[in-house]
Amino acid sequence: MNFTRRSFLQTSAGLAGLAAFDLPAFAQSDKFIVNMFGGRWEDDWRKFVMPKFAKQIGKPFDLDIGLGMGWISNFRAAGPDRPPFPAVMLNEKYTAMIRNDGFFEELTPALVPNMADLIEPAILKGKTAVTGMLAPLVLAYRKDMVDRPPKGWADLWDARFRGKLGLYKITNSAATMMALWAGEHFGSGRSDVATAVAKFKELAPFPQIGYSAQLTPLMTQGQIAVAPIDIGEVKAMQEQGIPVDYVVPAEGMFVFDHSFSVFKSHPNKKLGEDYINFVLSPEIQLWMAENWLIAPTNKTVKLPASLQKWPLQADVVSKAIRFDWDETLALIPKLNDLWDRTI
Amino acid sequence: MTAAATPFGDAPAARYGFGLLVVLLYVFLLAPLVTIVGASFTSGMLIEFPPRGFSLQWYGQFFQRDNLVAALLVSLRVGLITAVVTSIMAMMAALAGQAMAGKLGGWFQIGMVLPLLVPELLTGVGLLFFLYKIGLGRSLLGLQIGHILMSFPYAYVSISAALRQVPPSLGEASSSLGATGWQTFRLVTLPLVRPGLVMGAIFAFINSFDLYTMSLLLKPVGGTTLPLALFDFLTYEFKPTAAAAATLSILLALVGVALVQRLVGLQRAF
Repeated sequence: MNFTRRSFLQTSAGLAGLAAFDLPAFAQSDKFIVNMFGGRWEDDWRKFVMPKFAKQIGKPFDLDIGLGMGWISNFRAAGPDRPPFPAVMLNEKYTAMIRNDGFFEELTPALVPNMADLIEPAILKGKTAVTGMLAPLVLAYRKDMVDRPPKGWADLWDARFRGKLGLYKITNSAATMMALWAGEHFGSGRSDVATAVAKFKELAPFPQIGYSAQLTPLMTQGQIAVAPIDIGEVKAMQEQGIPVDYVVPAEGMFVFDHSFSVFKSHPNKKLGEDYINFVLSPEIQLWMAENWLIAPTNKTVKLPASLQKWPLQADVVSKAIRFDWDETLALIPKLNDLWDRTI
Repeated sequence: MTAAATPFGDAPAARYGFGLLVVLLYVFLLAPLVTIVGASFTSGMLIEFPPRGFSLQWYGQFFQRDNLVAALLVSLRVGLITAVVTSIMAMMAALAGQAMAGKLGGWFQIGMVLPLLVPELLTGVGLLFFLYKIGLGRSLLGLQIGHILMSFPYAYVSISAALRQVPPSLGEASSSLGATGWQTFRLVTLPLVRPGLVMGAIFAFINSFDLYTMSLLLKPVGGTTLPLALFDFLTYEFKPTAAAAATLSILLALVGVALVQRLVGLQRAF
């Protein structure tokens, strides 16, 4: 059969027709939609967590997968009156960017009953967000490549680790937290970005990675021996037989606050409140601890013996080094610029 | 058979030097593809090259990840619609451009390729605000509009180049023999422009399939495209599933090349 101009045009038109048919109209979807990170987070949330909430509310669900900056751009473009979904999960760094712009509802135990059982640091500024997922960041090291493990963040500057470190790009909030800590520890305070950047310059060259999970292959392959890593990644490496261990830094660990907020103008904001209550429930908090090594922020969660060796207990995470992200955001442009020009 | 002279002359040193340059060029172009395709067949747990053993497990994993398959389908649908719509629009624009003379024609040409000249991020942000204004923020239609906008110049350049090769005298002859404008277009112009049209459509499809920034800003709530899904995946799981997905994308590009060969022949298209 010859493929003629006529058949080409007919095929094109046919394909276009087929493709246009039954396109999902996400914007008008009557599904309950919330956001989530990709990879294993999405997979697990979709398979094990959301079906329970969908059953509770009697509605199908879907997830909007992405990263902080993409969501923030969209919320700003949509404006506070037209949020795309009722509740949102963001790294506290991003929540702070729009906290004062009238997007979020003030959360109270009357709206979200499980808030009454939260550890104090989990209720974030202005009660516009609560930490539903608290991911500890510890110092991981390869046991076969390090004679004497590090004890704290300051040990990263010890000559014995030179050339063996893996760190983050300054766009990652872990790098921001480390820089602010370095400014405080080595300089005049958290706003001393010049000292902070100069100190990290001493450690260069080192791989600068975007996300915690991307440090894992480097450590697995032995390209780096010491790195600040999400404890969930440490557990995953240990399960693969990689000789990795970790320390909770003497100065205190950092934490990623994944905070949850309700958009006050969304017509289904009640569902958003119910969703956050569901995430904060002992059942889901325990599920996240067992499966992701996320520290429960609900005080009533009893950690099983198998999890006691990890730094997930309420008293441990309450001592983590915390940052005021409103103040941090004001420092970020100068910090990022200096970092990019120096390291 | 005698070998053709190289651009640097016919001496043996020039021949070897030119040969080496060509080999290096191919290595430069193909090394990333070979690496990612190789890594997709590893039996290890990480993206690595050379691969550790041989396994198809990561292809199996890809097809078991409903979210990645759904993203692939969205990319295919959006790319296909982009290719068809863009080709039609670019054909009409190229005809209009050809009919314009002097400075107006020049400005028209510039206007048609503007999406290539303005940074994609800025176009995306502008479009994002506009789409929210008209009620299409974060909808599949909004994403489709963005992809058509960004892919249009590729199709336009390809089609207008092909159109310039058509002697105007053919159209005049057709008209003088009594053909209507539509008949002249359908029976004279279109067959001659077909290689450019097909190439334009394929460029538009590939461009749409690969768009990242525009998709990041405009993707529908609850939906995503393959490049975004792969980036989200790689952010939290550095597994060879992503290499398998990339290999499938490369396979799609090869299908595109085969399609060009089938429809117009590679020699005529380039």
